[in-house]
Amino acid sequence: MENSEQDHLAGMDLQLEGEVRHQLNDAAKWSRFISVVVFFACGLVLVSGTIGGAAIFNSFRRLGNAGDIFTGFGGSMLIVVIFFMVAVVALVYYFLFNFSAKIKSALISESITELNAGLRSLKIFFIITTVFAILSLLNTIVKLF
Amino acid sequence: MENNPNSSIFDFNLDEESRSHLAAIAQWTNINAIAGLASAAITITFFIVTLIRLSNYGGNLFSGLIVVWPFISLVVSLVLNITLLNASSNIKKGIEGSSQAHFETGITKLATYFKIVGIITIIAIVFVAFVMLAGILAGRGTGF
Repeated sequence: MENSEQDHLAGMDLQLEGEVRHQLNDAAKWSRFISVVVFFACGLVLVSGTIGGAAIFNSFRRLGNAGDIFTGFGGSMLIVVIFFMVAVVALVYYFLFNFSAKIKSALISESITELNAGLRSLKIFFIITTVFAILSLLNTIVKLF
Repeated sequence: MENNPNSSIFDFNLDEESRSHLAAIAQWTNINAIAGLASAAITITFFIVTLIRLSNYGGNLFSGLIVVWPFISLVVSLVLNITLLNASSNIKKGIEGSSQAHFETGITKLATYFKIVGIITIIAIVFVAFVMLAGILAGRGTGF
């Protein structure tokens, strides 16, 4: 009953008031935390990947001729792959961070432009993560057969 | 100036662009949740089949960490994806029917989804910290 009255009052306009505002603020707070942790993890992977990559590089160099293929191509390739993966993950979570920042700013300034920028970032974040989820699903299916 | 009883100077309503973004978010989160649920179902089926096959070689494999870890992963995946699916369907209903109640539920579910991911992140941080601490202590113990 209460809900239908609320719907009637809302009419054609969906309002960002009360509970919606509170929940959006919560979503922004948690998404900020998640993205900051991911950025930090990316930094750690980058540092350990570079140090570890260099260690692997040196190990193969000690192998002499047998390790040439790794020192010439494989070692640097490993570092490039790590850099690429970290860049992709950081880019994805940049959109989540942007969503958080824009929504917080929109709720403070009541700016619809900021709100739309935040929602656009969230949309891009979900598009990319969905593509990854589908690729992961396909990978699981392929592994089965 | 006309006075609208449903609005005040503090009204903050969605415009066409916001609705369009929210509709796209609902659509993509729906696909994301379905893909996640399908992936979880396939993984668990594959895991159970493998366990049954391995148990034919003897021993009770349905005990201890072997079963607990995938079970926890399955529960987490189910909770996350069902929450995301609920968020998606409610936001979609809210946008299509201009229903404030559905929209509110959808945004609440979306916030819950991020809250769950955040809590899982905290648990993962604690777990990694423990592993690193154990590694350092083990390294000291062996003289490294």
